[in-house]
Amino acid sequence: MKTLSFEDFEKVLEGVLKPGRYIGNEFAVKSKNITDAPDLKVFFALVFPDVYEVGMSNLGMQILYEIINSRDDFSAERVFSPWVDLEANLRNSKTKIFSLENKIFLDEFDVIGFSLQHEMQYTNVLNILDLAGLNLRSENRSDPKPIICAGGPAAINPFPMAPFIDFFVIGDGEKVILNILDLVKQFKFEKRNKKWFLNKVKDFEGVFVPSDYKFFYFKSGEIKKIEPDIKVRKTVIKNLDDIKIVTNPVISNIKPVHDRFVCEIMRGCSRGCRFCQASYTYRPVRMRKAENLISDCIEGINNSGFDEVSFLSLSSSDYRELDFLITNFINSEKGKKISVSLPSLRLDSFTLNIAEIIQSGRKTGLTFAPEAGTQIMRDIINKNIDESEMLECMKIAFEKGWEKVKLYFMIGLPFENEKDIEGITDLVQKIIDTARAVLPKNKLGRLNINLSINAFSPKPFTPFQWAGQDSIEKLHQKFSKIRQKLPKRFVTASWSDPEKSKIECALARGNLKVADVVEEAFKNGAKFDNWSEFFNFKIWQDAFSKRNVDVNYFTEREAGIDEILPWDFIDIFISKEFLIKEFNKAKNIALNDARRN
Amino acid sequence: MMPEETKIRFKFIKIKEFKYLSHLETVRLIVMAVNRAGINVKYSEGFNPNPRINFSFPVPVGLASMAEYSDIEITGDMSAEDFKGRINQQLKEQIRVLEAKKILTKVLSLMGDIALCSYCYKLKDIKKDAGGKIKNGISTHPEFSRSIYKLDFNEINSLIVNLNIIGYTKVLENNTIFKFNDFLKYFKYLSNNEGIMVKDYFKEEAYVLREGNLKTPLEIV
Repeated sequence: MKTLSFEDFEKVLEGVLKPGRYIGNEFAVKSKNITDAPDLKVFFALVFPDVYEVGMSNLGMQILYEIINSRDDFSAERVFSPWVDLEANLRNSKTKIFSLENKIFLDEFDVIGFSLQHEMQYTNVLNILDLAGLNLRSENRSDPKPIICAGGPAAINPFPMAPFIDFFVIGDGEKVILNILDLVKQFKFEKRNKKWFLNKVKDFEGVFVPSDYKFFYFKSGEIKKIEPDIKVRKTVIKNLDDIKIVTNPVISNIKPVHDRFVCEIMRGCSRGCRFCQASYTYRPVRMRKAENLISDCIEGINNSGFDEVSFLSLSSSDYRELDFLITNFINSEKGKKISVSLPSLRLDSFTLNIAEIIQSGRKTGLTFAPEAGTQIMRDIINKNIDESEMLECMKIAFEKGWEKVKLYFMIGLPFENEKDIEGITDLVQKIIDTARAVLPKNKLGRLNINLSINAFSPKPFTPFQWAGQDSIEKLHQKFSKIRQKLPKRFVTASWSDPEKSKIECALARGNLKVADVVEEAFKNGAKFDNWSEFFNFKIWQDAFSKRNVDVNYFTEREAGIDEILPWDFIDIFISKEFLIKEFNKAKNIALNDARRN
Repeated sequence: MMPEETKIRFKFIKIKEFKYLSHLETVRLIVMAVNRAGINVKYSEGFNPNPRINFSFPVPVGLASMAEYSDIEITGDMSAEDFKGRINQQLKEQIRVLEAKKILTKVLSLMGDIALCSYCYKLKDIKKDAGGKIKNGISTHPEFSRSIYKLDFNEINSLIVNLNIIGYTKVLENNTIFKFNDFLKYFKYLSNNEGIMVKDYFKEEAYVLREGNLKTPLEIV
């Protein structure tokens, strides 16, 4: 296998801002020695299309890395997006992108697997293929190697990336990945061609081979039919306790964005908020046994040396053994020295106690996600948070000494009207009033309400998958209305970029035509689209118009209920009928609200 | 009686690709290795307790070092050998503790005490008169003439000559601080002019001053 020499490695790092991103050789690295019988092994490049600090914080990367490398005959090495400075050096010196561990050039691997966390990483995938000297489109890659696959939450509608990827894995990757690599081993040693491989791999649960499918369109742009009419079933790990959490993660050399030990307590969410894609695509809800978790977690902390643990899930308040887990963990000898974080904790009087225990006197801040400003809007989106309960909870929190509150809101939700927008600023005012009532004057000054307001982007496999997205102008109007009415004192706010939300929406709900746009945008310089300093709306606008694709078809247009949607042939165990029913429920709540008409 | 705490000063190397880690990145890795080793490092008081580990002056990113120093405070008793053995099990060969000693006297902080650092350039294809020319160039240079304490050429074998430089890291009298990155650029220009090949360069040692003599930070504890 061809690798980059240390001398050349040093050359490409010249002038690079954070060279520590590329050195590899971290503590607990698990890849194999490549000089030891390379012909007998399958080499898998695990690629995360963003920078090292982001990718090293991703749990899925650590899980797959661990599982693949647990086999003697498989070796997984990691590749992350080079930052623009290294990319320039690579291109100027005509050096191909390489893996972190053994500095193997990416195109030398048997399989390349991309982790797709969100739509705004798509152009980075193309950039990495390009930096590997590979043809972007599967049909133009004539060599049998490498085979290119992708998985992760943003592969759930694979079509905007379908022409570039040989096969996708939909769902949990833990088990199927080993079956796939066994097949790659056979493919490699029997010197088969790619067609043979793809024909076999498609039989595994969760595997989708785009080259097997054809799209037929009506003149209007709607899908007439998708052939063959065979559904791809999501693959699921039924019992999470079958697979132990990663207790010896790779310790990144430079500080990752989430610098802590991660312990997944639960997968899936039963809340059913109608805007939330993860809530539908990660079903069913599966919980790990708290007893195993406590010992595994302590083992993991001892192995890794972190001083913080994050108990990860989509909705930790719904974890059945939360109280048992937290109490026993923090009372353990190790737990006493470790700080605990619980993301996505839905706060009420019960969980506030837990928040108090884990913040152990520090009271760093509390997070609430009402998502909408009025009760009716929260009913429409099925976010069952009651305003009076929330304010009561904040009142107790202020009394107990909390001074910082973070709030998440969305605007541009389906059936939203002016009252809902006003409701956001009204709610903020009510929180201030609550604080005034309980906090003494000398403490009131430290009150900090931090708002994060995001433009809604409808996603596949949600009851709002048919909804039209607000236009950029409309979103700006709503933002500025909130800005005008928002109390100045005590409040800080951050806003999402409506232009970015629009592209995110078009990519999330895109079909094969959108794939052409992704390619065009990449060729015109789009990359790191999730980084505000790089996102360039003009490039995307031009790409849509050059490829003759109407962006609003995928964003502002409300799709017909009986339309064939690009992702309809993927079975995530939730019927379209159920989603229609949920959409109608939301619609009826809006229609029955007299004030809305 | 068991001492309540142990202070240890240790010297470590930071070589090969790990020379690309910044100071803060190195600190993070060592703190995590200490945690993994089960060494009970003491923490500062307050809402944001920090481990009591102090380091010597940051070495520039990209410069390998054979002599980084750190002081650590540990709860309870621990021998220096035990400390070294345990932490090295948690470190890679590129960052490794060479020596550790208990601090038994009152010492200044490493940052405050270290006054000089030595650097080594391994040179190839050096012509007979090149050494003199380089020495001359540096000693008449407006900046480096004041920031360099000592400069020597040492023949290692018929091919390799070591250039050893000791520079100030602290302003003492009329000197200025030796800025390695500036010197690196200047030396590149000098060596190019003389057709000398630089095989390698690294930080070799750090020194404190005691009664006019150079001592390593481990010699004084």
